[in-house]
Amino acid sequence: MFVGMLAALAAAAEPTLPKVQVEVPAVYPVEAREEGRSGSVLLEVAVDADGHVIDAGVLEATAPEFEIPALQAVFGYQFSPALDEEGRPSEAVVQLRIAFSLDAMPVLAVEGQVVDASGVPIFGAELRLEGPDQAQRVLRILEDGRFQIADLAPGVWKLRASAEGFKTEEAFLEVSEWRVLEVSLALTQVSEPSSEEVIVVEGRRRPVEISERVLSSEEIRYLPGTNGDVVRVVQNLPGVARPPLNIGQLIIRGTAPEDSAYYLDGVRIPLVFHFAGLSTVVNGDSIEEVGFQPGNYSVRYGNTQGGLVDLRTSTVLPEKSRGYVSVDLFQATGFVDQKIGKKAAISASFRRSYIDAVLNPILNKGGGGSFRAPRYYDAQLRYLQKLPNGTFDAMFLLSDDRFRILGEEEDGEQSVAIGLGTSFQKLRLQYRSKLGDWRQETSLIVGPESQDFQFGGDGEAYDKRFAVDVRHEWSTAPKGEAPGWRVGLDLRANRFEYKYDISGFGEPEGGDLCTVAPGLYVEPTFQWGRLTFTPGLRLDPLISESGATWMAVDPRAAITVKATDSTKVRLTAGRYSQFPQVREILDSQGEIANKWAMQASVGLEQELGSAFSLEVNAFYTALEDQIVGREDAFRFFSGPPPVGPFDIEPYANDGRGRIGGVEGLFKANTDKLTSWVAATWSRSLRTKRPDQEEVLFENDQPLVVTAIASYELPRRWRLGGRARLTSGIPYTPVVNKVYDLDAREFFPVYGERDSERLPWFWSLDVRVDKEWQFKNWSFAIYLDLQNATNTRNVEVVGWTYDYGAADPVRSLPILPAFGLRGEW
Amino acid sequence: MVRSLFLLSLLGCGGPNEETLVSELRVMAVVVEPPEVAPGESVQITPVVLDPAAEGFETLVWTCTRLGPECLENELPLEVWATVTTGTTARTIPAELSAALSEDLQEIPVSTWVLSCEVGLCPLFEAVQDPPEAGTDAYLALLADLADPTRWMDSLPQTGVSLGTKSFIVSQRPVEERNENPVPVLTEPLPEVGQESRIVLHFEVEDQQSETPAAYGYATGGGFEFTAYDVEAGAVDLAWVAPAEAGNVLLRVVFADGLGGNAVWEGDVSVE
Repeated sequence: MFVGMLAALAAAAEPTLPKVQVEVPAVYPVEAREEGRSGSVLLEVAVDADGHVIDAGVLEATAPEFEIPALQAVFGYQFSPALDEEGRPSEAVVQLRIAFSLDAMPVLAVEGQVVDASGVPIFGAELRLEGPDQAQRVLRILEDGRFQIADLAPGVWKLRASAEGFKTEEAFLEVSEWRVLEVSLALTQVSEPSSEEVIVVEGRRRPVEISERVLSSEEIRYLPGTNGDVVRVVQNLPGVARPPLNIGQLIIRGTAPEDSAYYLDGVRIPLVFHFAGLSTVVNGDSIEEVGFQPGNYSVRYGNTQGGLVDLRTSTVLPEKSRGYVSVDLFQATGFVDQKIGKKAAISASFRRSYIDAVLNPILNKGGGGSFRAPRYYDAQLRYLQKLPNGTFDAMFLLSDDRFRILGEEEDGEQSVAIGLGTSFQKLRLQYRSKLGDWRQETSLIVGPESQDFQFGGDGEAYDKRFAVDVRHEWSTAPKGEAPGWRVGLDLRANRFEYKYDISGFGEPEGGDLCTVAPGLYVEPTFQWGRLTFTPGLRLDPLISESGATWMAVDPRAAITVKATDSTKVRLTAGRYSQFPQVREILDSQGEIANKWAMQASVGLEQELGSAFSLEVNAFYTALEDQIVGREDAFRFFSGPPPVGPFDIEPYANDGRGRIGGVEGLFKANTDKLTSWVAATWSRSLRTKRPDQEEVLFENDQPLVVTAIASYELPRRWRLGGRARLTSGIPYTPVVNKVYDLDAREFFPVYGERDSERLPWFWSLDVRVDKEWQFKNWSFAIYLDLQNATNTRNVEVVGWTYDYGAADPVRSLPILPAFGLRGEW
Repeated sequence: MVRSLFLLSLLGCGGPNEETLVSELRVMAVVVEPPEVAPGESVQITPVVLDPAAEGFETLVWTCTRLGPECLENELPLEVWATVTTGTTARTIPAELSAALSEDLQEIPVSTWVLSCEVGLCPLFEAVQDPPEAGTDAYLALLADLADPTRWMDSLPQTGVSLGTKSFIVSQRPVEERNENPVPVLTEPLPEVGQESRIVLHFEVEDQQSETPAAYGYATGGGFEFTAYDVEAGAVDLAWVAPAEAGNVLLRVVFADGLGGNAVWEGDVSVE
């Protein structure tokens, strides 16, 4: 008792000042960060008896640009209250210095503006954020209504915006370490009728790659002509030609489809589309972003001389259970994402096409059945666990496509007359963590993949591969004069087995080979003011079981100059090597070498206000040591087979190529409109053998123009359209024919290879969406009217049985694809 | 019902198959008698050409025997192995070819080429009938043209020109083991034919060697229902559907044994 009284007396004798209990990182001004300048601001801060900041002012600052971020940050501070002489909490004024140091630069997470219904910035609005683990932030909006919030933990944050005289609004933000959220807050005055949506949240990915285009899944869902499929939307971007028959191929910057690669979170996957490109093999709701890199990408990616698509999954835990069921003309999909405790979530999705279920009974009615329409399914099961310093992510994914025509044996048994199948089963484990300023990412993906073809009872061809892919990467962003780094090791171990025994395709062949390809890459990033320089080096050996080695050394570099706040210029150049395929290795007794490309590009990005942007890229690719020959041999081909005089000589690195072009992308995005116009002019040429003349690449499309728009109307209606105009692909004309009197069939006499071109392709797609929002769930319906003008475009050249006249394959007529989706 | 219609539409059933209708000049067959010979022996080569429009044509027949990149015939005078004729022409197989035959190479195929053109349309006829002097560049170019017709086919029109190729066999097998041409016999005379009527041609086919002979019907009007018919138990029925217009129609049925032997039945019918 006595001791307590003494303590109280002592406290009463020494009043205390407020002390900082919760500190909010101030956002680094962009120009200061880019120019490597540090600074500080001395503030005078008034703190109430609860420890809240009630007022603040600037006493001095090393530069004016630090003042606003410091003031915004300090309003989020929490203090221990001041105590007066009697030990009671009281108001007080203190001085506080906030330092801006390049060594401890916070990471921007959210930025935006608070305005009223007429777009006038609201001064003095308050933002309160509640995040995972009860984390809280408070922000006071100053001057022009703009704000930035840094260093938010990944997860779902509840945002509450309030201002005197305005109605309070709430929204949920999914904060991810991969992107910056752009938030537009339009508050309505108390006297005004409430509008349906006043908070608009958009994601803008943090730039980690050079010359990359990123599409968020929200951006994609409503775009016409794609059934909302995330990867099919890539086909509408600059640099991508339209494949014949609109099948699921990506012809990127004039390279062959097999020269481009697909990744899931940076680890290679065998394919990305189901049959005919109807949909992606990974559920779109598992994918947060689609990174499309047409060329000049980082040394992070190897063994590819074309472009690539990297599907990136979200690491954000759901706020609560969510999911949906959808059906459309081709397939049914189910998806559920369930939070487990506070730190984990499990999600599952399954999709199956039912073209076969509809068509098979019709086509085989009354008989034993001889036709099996294409069917596909895919499934993913995922477990996500937040750990103290990172995230553990386990996913099992599988995909299976099959198409068959059955014949009947003499004994009445059915056998496969024609059959085609592709499948894979993969287990992916990934761990991402932060260690100080460094990010670590470790990925493993393992499992079998195969494709097979059956023809005429005993004809059989297959590719089977068991692959183990590993990647470990460390990265850190540049800070001031300290460079950023990306250092990684990726390894692909393969056992590949093949057999091609199809009559009419030469002698049967087969083989198997084990290979391992450990790749190492290093990529520093230097920032000098407005200039960023990113050189990189990638070493890729491929070692076969016999000890033979193929070595690739790929130096690459990029320079980015931010000329103004809204203008950016990029220069890139680099070498991109690709290993020969196993069949080419075995057939040539290991004599075949890597093929490779030298890519260069120059690009300009110009922001035109807050809603518009323009991007222009010029690129040139030189293809060297291209593998040519054996065009008459069997090969799996996901598109129309090549026609024309074949090069039947053994494989050799005799081919060369030149590709050049200009890409343009104009985007207009507002809170209600998503739209862009993409245009590519290019020319892709090949010289197959040294003694041959240069010819057009078989998928050369000089002009590809796509205009796409989706606009949100009142009452949750949405209307969209897509128009496409592309040059026809080259083809080899048939100039005469010879009648084979033994086989009793004609064979063609071809003219100059790829010397003629199909007519222009033109199509218009229209999409209408309507959504109903209920208390706990929503229901949406859409109609995607593909080829609304019913234009019968020529997709592939074809000929009558006697090659006397052209008989081309034409595009589908008008196709009303509809879908339903129930979401909770 | 739906399935039946679908399959019928796929197969083209229920009427004449358009692939059996010959509407322009076409080399239909080459009958080589016998279809298998020994070195030193002779064969009779008879081209069968259909000229629906009766525009008139000329036919060039030549052979090419390859043991390497060149035709062995290049060593012989041109007139021995390249002949302009619409009738039967004879070829004697060089006895020296026996040296090339062995246990590993028991037979050598000889390609027979037949080019039919409307008169004056193909410059090759003139070159063969009035050849350049042997050994000159022009003569060597002519030999190269004959060895690989795809070199010049792209310079000819697609109508009024027809090029066909067929092989026969050179071997040293005993005569009784050699392949022979099938012998077809139409068992019933052609009946009266009305417009769009369907008639069935019944053939008995004598073929000693082949297990899978087939018959291919062609017509200058109407059409056969199928492009190919299997000969089973030495007999085959081909269904022909007459055209909707009256007039004369040329019918040709090619019997092929799949081993290089063939025969052609030729018939003319008047549609009333």
